[in-house]
Amino acid sequence: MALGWPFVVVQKLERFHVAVTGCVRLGFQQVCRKRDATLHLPARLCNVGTLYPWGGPWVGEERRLVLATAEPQGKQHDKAAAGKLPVVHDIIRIENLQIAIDLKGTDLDVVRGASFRIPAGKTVALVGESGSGKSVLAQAILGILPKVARVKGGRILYRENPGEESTDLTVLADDSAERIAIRGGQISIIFQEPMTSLSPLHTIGNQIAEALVLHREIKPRDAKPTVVEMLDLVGFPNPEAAWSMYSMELSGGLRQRAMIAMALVCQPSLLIADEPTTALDVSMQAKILSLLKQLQAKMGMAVLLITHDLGVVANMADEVVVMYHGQIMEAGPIEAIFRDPQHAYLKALLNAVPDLSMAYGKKLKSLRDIEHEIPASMQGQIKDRKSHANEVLLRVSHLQKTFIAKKNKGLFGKTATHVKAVDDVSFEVRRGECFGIVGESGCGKTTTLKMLVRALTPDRGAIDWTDGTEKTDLLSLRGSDLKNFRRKIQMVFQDPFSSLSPRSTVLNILKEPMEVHKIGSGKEQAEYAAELMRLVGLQPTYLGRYPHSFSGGQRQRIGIARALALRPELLVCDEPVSALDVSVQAQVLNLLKQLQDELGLTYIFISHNLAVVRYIADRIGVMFGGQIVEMATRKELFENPIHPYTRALLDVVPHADLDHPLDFDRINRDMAAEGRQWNEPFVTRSDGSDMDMIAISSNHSVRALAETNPSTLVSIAGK
Amino acid sequence: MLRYIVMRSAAMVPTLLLASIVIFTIIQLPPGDYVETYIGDLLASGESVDLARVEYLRQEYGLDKPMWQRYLLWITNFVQGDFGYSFEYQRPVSEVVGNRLWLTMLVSFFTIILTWVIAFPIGIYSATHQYSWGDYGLTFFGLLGLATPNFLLALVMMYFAKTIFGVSIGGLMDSQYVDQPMSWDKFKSIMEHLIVPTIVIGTSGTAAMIRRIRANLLDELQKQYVVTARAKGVPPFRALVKYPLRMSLNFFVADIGSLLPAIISGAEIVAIVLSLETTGPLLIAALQSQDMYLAGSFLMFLATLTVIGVLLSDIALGFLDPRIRLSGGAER
Repeated sequence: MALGWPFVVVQKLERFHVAVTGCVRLGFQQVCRKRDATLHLPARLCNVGTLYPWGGPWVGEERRLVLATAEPQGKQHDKAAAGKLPVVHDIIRIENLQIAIDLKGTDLDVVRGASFRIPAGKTVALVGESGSGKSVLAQAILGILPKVARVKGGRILYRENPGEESTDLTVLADDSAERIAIRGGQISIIFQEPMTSLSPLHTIGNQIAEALVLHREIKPRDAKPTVVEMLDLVGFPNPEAAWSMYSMELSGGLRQRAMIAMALVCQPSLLIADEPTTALDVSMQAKILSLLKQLQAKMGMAVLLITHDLGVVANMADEVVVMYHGQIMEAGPIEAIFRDPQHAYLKALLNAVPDLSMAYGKKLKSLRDIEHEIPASMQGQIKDRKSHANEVLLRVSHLQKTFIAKKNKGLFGKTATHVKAVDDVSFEVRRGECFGIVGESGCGKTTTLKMLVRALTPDRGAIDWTDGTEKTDLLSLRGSDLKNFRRKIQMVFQDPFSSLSPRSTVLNILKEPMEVHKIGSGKEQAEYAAELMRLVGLQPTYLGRYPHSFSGGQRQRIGIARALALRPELLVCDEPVSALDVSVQAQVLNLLKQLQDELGLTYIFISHNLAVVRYIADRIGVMFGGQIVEMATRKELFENPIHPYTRALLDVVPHADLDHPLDFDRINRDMAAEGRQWNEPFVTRSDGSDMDMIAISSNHSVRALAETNPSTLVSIAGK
Repeated sequence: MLRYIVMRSAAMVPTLLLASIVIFTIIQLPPGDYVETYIGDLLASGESVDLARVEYLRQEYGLDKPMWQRYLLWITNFVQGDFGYSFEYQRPVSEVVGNRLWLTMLVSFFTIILTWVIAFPIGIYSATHQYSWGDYGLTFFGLLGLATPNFLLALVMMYFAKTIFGVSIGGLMDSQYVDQPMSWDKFKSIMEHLIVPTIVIGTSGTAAMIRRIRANLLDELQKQYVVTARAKGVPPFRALVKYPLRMSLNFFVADIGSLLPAIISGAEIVAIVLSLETTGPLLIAALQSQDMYLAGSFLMFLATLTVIGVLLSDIALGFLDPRIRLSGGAER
């Protein structure tokens, strides 16, 4: 922002009035555009003693600012000014709130007598699993409850500034003018799904400016400078260009930033963040969390952070409210919640989360354990497999796959932008182990998997399968050979909701693989399906039901049962728990672990969650930009990471532990550096020298320049 | 975008070529030709047939030549703007069709406007008040309109107009104005006669349109970005128009493709029942009497309009929806 405009020193004010001519901006925010208006500035906009540049972007206009009166705020304020810290008031007080959903005449109570507060300028985390009523509560605060839901009782008291009368938001009609003015202007929200929460038909600039025009006295054509400034503030690399871009042109992280810009452009006093990072991977999550912290410091708004990730809570919250089945189980300051949990539910929740600091052999305690049994028919094959343990089962060498990302069509001829999704990936998987692949979204891990199951054909490379003494070249298989081979590798998918057909019963879902491969008669298949159900801890009586009558965790178990129906040797799991709640994550992870042990299975396990991979995998490969950059046994990788990417990845995992806070300063620095600036030997030289996996020990290798000495790498990492 | 338009326009040529072959073949499929039908008609009415004249007609119109030669002759003339000669009317096709064309367009234009004016508010109301009494009631009437055959409605209305009001609603103007130059009275007469055909032809279209608007809007209303707009504090009606309604217009634009030919062809059966001077009955008569050039050129005309309509709606969609404009060619 150009300096040279008049400056104003804000002194000890709760709120003050200014007579202005022309346009006024406070910090980056344009607050008023009326001539000769008296401004009412809420205290949260200004920090005592800070210099704020004033003025407008209109050149040639006379700007005269007169600081009129500092309005005394009565006794309360005098006390605060007399040396003590100002008393933090509560922006929101929720008292005995009850919300019900109308299910064809009967009420389903989703929030049952919740009471808590949100202090101004602080972060309150609302924790609970899905279905606990936390999102409904947020919708009630905003007045955007779905039609079937209604507030049955209780109050939501809202007060923007201390000394003001508080408003009961539950009395206002959802679409009343007063409510609409608060919604988006003083309380705003960001959602979990950055992919769908922006309109695909309108530009980013249009959507952000809309909020500004609605709530501030700004004409649409004057909104652009403020919006661009806001986009800059949330970290858009080129805010000017982003103004006229569409959401589909942005990555998930940038869309979430655009969402944040839209929520904050009116300087709300409360921001509700409904699972803001759940759909993002760890490194993006850390950046967004850091951004939220920075913005909160700058704008002084309160944040209601709704999440199920205790790691996020530990790093962000001042106060925590734990919710279960519509009721508040425990609430208090963060220290008390993490160091001295009282309620059994909270204790169980804390134990169910895999964490980077837990002991390697330790088993997670899931909230609801499941019993399962191994059918007799499967016992035989287990012994047979266990005798071959530790032999190499699958060897992947120099796999490569290129996609066309975008075709740029000119009037004459076209050019295509090619993206190397998988670039020279090699690894091997031994029988009976679990090989984990970690990396952020877009690093090529799913593409690698798809090539393993022959859903995609690699451009180059080889996949060899060794069964005892018999060797098979997977990529050369055709026709019936390929079909028969598919039985040996089966897949478990990420999304338990879309990976089961809503129109077939569980029985049909489990029978289908057997029908395809013509195994057994119809009766035998049904019997085997019942065995599979018991194998994953579900009642065989559920076989006649449809997937919609199961919870996410149960569906994922059905998905696992389906994958096991053909008695595969290798199970390929693509983020099997990332769509699940923390409370069921542990359950499914434990089940997978037990099945691996009991059935002698081999796993390839993909995840962006390092803690999950650490819990389940024996050896881990770290992928970045289509390449495996580091590969080691679990302990070696987590205790002695060499590659800068691995180290960066480990730094951004939020721990559910107050003693290991995220280093937000460092994340900010990384963000400023834009992209990863590694040095040799981790990047190729300008002459394009060969990169290779350098073995540091028998079970640890790192991608670096081909001739690098392993000891150099260790010493670089030691620094 | 420019390249897209050029490529799409170029792709129209082979499409139309194929269409012309199909049209020509189908018209030629029934045994005999116009001259034989003509002779049959003459014989049936007891008149003698002048064989010399028959031979003359055959040669004149090239009916004695092999089919591919006739096709080539027809299509080359068609491209040059000569649509051939109607046997039945003894006039060039362009004249025969041209006279009726503007009346047809008038009827279709009013029908489409009526459809939109009724369907849009009702569709939007039904979607935003889903499962309310209003929704059920309007759905009921909509389905009634959809289920009633147009020609039946036309007959019923004709009957009541005659018995109750004593007016004849057939035709597009009172008989004294036919072939008269345009005058204020003639215009008034046409407008009066337009009311019934517009309503009759419009009913089923309106009902179908209501259902489509409702279904499309309901899909969009559940999307997350609608909640975002609400959470931003956009007033309900503005949020509805700017986001979900705008989005559900895609199908509407895609519909333009089928709209263009519909404007020209007119509702054939209703037009016959109400004896409207539109192109619909003309086409049917031409097909019956094997008036080859009239039928062929007319069908070809419709095919061309369809292809142009689809092109127009595709281009409009590209402009309206950035997803179509920006994501072409990506491979996954």
